[in-house]
Amino acid sequence: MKPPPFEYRSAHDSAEAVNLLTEYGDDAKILAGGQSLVPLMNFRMARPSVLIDINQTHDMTHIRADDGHLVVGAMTRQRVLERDQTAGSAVPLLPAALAHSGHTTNRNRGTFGGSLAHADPAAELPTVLVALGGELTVQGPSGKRTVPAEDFFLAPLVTSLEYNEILLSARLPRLPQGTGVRVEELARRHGDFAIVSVMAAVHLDSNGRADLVRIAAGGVDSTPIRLHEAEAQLSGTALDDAGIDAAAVAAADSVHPTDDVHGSASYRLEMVRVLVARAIRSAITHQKEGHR
Amino acid sequence: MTAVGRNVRRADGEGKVRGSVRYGMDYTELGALTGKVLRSSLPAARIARLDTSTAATMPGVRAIATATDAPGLSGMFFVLKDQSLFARDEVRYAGEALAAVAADTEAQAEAALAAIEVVLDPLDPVLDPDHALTDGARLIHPDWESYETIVPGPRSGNLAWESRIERGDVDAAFQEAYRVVEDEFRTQRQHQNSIEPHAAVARYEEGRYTVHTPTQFPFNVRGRTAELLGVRPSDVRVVVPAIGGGFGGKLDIMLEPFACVLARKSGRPVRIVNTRSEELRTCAPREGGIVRLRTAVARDGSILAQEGEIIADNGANSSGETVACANAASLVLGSTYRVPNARYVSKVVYTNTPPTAAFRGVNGPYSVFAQEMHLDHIARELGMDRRDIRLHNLIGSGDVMVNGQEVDGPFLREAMDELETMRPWQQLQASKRPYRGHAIVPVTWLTNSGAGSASMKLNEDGTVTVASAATEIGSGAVATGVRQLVADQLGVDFHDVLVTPPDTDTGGYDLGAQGSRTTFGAGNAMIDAGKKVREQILDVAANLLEAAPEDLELADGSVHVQGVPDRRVGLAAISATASMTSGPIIASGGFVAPPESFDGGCMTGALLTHFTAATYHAHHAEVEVDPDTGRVTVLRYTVVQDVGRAINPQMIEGQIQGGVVQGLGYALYENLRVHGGEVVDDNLESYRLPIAADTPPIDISILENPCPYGPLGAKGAAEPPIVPVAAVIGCAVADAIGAPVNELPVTPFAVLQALRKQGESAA
Repeated sequence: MKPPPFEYRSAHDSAEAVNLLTEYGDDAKILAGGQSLVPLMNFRMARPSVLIDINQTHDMTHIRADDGHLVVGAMTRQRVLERDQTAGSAVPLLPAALAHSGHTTNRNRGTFGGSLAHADPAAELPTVLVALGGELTVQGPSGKRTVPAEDFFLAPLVTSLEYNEILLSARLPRLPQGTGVRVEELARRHGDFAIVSVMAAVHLDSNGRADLVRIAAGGVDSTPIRLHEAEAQLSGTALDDAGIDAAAVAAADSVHPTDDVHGSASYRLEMVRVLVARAIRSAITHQKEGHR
Repeated sequence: MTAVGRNVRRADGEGKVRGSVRYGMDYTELGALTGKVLRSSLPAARIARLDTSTAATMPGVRAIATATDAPGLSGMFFVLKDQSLFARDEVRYAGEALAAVAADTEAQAEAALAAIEVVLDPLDPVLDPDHALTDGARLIHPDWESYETIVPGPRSGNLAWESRIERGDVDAAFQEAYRVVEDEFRTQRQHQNSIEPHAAVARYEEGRYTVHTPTQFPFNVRGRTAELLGVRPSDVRVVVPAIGGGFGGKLDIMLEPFACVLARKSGRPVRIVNTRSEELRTCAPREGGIVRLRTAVARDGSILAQEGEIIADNGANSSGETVACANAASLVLGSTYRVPNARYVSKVVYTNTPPTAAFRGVNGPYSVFAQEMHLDHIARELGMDRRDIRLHNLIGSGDVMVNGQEVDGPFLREAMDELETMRPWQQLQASKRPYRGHAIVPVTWLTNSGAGSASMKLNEDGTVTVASAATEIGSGAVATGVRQLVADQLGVDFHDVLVTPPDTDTGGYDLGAQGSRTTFGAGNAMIDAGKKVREQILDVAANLLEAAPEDLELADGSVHVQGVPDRRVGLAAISATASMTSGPIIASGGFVAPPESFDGGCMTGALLTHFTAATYHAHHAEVEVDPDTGRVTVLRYTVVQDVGRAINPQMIEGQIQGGVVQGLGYALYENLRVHGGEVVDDNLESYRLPIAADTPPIDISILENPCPYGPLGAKGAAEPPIVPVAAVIGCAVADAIGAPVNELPVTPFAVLQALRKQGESAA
């Protein structure tokens, strides 16, 4: 099926995109890589009357790292980000997560910012942002503002972006050298949206104690969920088996999945426990065995 | 060079690859209107009001059709005539047609549908087949006794049809049994999901309907459309453009009668194409089944007797093949292993759900799944090796199947032996790792015996044209198989054999692309016509070459005298000579499979009574289960398949690959769920088809046990590779986790549950 008729506008930079959003209001949608929006339009689940194409812009396509952070422009293609060495060494969780994001062809076109602004609670990039406590920079008519990831994602496909705001970039804290990362995803078929996904980053200090633990789960709630309680239980410990298992139980206690056509809430709860434990253990192995 | 046995390239291959082929859904006619069907939102209701008067006045609306426009009752294969085109008085499933509209544009047609006033008084839907059979269940067809049937069939109330096989002394055998083992299995609906949806373009001219539709079985569409509309079959002409897949889903009428009625009422061509969602919600899938098996075994593992009850969900009417194929379930249960005493009852039950129909392998996949999981249960009870118990009971030369039909050779054993050389059982058993499992399943399957016909002419340029209603649904049977047969028979190049597009006005009767019958049945009909064409060619050539016809040979597009290759005359010259002397060279031929001898007395209500051109198979799979998530990964798959004679090995391998993948979908992913009478999975996000990344390496070995009445020995090849797949996967998963999974699909949820249950019972 093809989408219902819509008006097409092209923006040449982010400021023009904001102007167009202001002009058309709620009827307009930003077209970035189109890997989620276009299928939704074809299924008539989304019927924007205006599409504002930002593929001609240049001020939102960049990957920059400094001592403390990695900053990625919203129009950076996912496949570019996945293969970027600067990004991979600063935040190794990013390429690991992107490998699960659709198929390669989707990532060739799909953008970093598009996936964040789409805010699917089962998608990989929002879960990475939440796991690592990233921040999103958005621009509106009166200027820029910065939103922490946990405040950006509000509900399935709903963010704190105002109708006339556009996502410019996101900033992620650089992970300490040697941080172990792991993405655990459970999907019925290859390339399906995850029934449950868990992202973990773990760093052990020279005494073998965890001085960094970051965990988030996707697909189990209305937004990706940072698993604070599990992180707190594990931080500063040697990450022994009993501790990991207990933290995994705590993780399952802190999410609120619902039944849907893909799986039951109870299965998801159980899988959060299983995948959190697996992700932590694999992340430890990843640190110990080094990044390959 | 001969064509048979070679991987000649499909006649339609380049067009399909380049995208130039015009499929049924691409076809339209000048001035065609868009047709749309209004469907019931409720599974069971009385129609209190249906008012089309407002809709009829809306812009662009050219015709509206309702129940009064289609007076006939019909049913698939004309077996049980309980289907009307539009619901009359009562709605029996969500998705049943209430009215149809033709308008200038799709938007106008949709607006008109929305303007039809419908008031439905809900009835209590009967959704569960077991419940439908209980006393006091509401009758879905209160007038069931008034329906015409092709033969008197055992039926009553919500029991649409029953077929039985009873042989030997079952009760006595159970008395003597060392062990009696019982199981129940439940399986889901599977949607055919051809990449091209159903589509039809009809026009009405000079009192006749012409409908273009990508159907597998044009003569069925002709007859069924005529019956529903209350006209003669010859008043309907069916023309078949290129077909974008069928898998059984395009055997029966779907949109054709609606397009015809609207064309007649509007005086314009009318085109209707289903959306994907309409496909999933309204096109008849493989039926869900319940199989209950009870088996008496001896201490050495011999099956002494088996009782089976198969409950097949017919849905709301018999517009699909579910009734016609009821007995196939019993036949397949009793044709792979010796079951000397058997009592099988196959019940086809009405429910207030969308009707079910044929899907590659019909009820075979779930019957085999049940039988094989059950055999593993028996093996566990007896402490026997799973392969040993199968070999011990395997049917072979001199044995009889459950219908009394004699087995024509030790071919099932040969298939098992061939598989053993590819995947040695004891070696795999010895090297087993935790949560890895494997399984082996033999199976006997059949070739559809149905009628075919062909008319063949020698063209002026020495090429050959065959007029036939045989359809190419992608298997290559028409694009390669039958052409290869004719090419070799007449000594012409493969590319010089042309086959007309199917058209019921010009092609003789053909039973359609089903049950792997096209190369076999249509091919045999063409060979029959070809014999006569060959004789005519040789008669003309004998005069020209001054030789006796029996001394002549046909090769390389010409006729030459045996041993004297220089004394030759080309087919173009023969064609020209014939048209001046004996008349143009043309002949027709026909075929229906010869009867097999079987014990008719042991069966009642059986419309499918025996195995024609039986084929023998053995499949093996290795799987890995994640015990924490329940996820199953298929690591490797192996198929040994007897095809009689491999006319085109590459096409056969393609069918095996496709059949196995479709079987993996059935085993692990695909589940057309119906909740409260509504189809849940009306999109391809939750109706999960396997994709390439989910598919393991598939190793294939083709065996050739020629069939005496097959074309050059060939038997059906396309349908069987799906039949044992769910059984193999189910048994392999059970082996991996040490616990049975008695429902399909084998979801991660079911696997975890089985593991947990097993953990509890061990504790």
